Amino acid sequence: MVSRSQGRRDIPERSAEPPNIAEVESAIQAARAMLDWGDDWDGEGSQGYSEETWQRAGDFLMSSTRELWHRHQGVVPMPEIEPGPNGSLDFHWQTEDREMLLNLPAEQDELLDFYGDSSAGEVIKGRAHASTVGPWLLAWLIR
Amino acid sequence: MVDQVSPVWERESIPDGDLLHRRVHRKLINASGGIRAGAFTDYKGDMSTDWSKYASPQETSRRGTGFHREEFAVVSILVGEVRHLGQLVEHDPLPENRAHTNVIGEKNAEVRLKLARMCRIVITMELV
Repeated sequence: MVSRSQGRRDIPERSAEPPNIAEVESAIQAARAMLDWGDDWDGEGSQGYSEETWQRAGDFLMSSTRELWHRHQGVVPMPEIEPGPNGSLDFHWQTEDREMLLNLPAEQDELLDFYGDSSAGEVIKGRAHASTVGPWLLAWLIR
Repeated sequence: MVDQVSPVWERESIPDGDLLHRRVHRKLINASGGIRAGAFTDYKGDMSTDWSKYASPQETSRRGTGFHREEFAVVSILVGEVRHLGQLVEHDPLPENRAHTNVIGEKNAEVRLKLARMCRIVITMELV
């Protein structure tokens, strides 16, 4: 019987999904607990979190994770998904030599706000539309 | 009957070497005990803190109503470092809190992350 791969070099097939996609999805699901907090959850009058903002945050992270994988075979480090100001959500990444905070606003029309730096002195910061910068920002984290 | 008179405190200038104390809810503390950047946000245009000249961390921890004190940690930040981030630090005494101080300025991602890095936890809370 002849193997289908006989005569060809075995090349590992690239997975259609990033290897940590289930972990990313699980982090997004865990962050859903913030929707139950309501307003003034911290005793300082902070605004609560909406289903719509959580959904957009999840879409942003999932699509950026997939795009980074498909374009560069890069695997996104796991972020902490944290409560941000005025109903917004923060993504916080900390790797061995880089750290980045990315804020996803509660209002869809508002821009992402991000800041990151590295132990080598690199700084990355600015505001941008979520649709344009996701994979680029995540690629910086793993450069 | 005598009217109750609230004290009126004079505003003072705060030296760079003094500390600001701020209460931080347990939801703003991560699993490893670090302070999240979300702990440093404005409410109605500024961020409330207490000046160390008139409040100890214990007094700061007792402020606020409707929450258990055990749900909060207290962090301290050096005034000069806060100003170095482009924030204004203004003493704004209230009748019931002579230490009350506002930190004024945009709290973008850079400022919040740097405040989270530079603060020091002075009263811890039990992580639930």
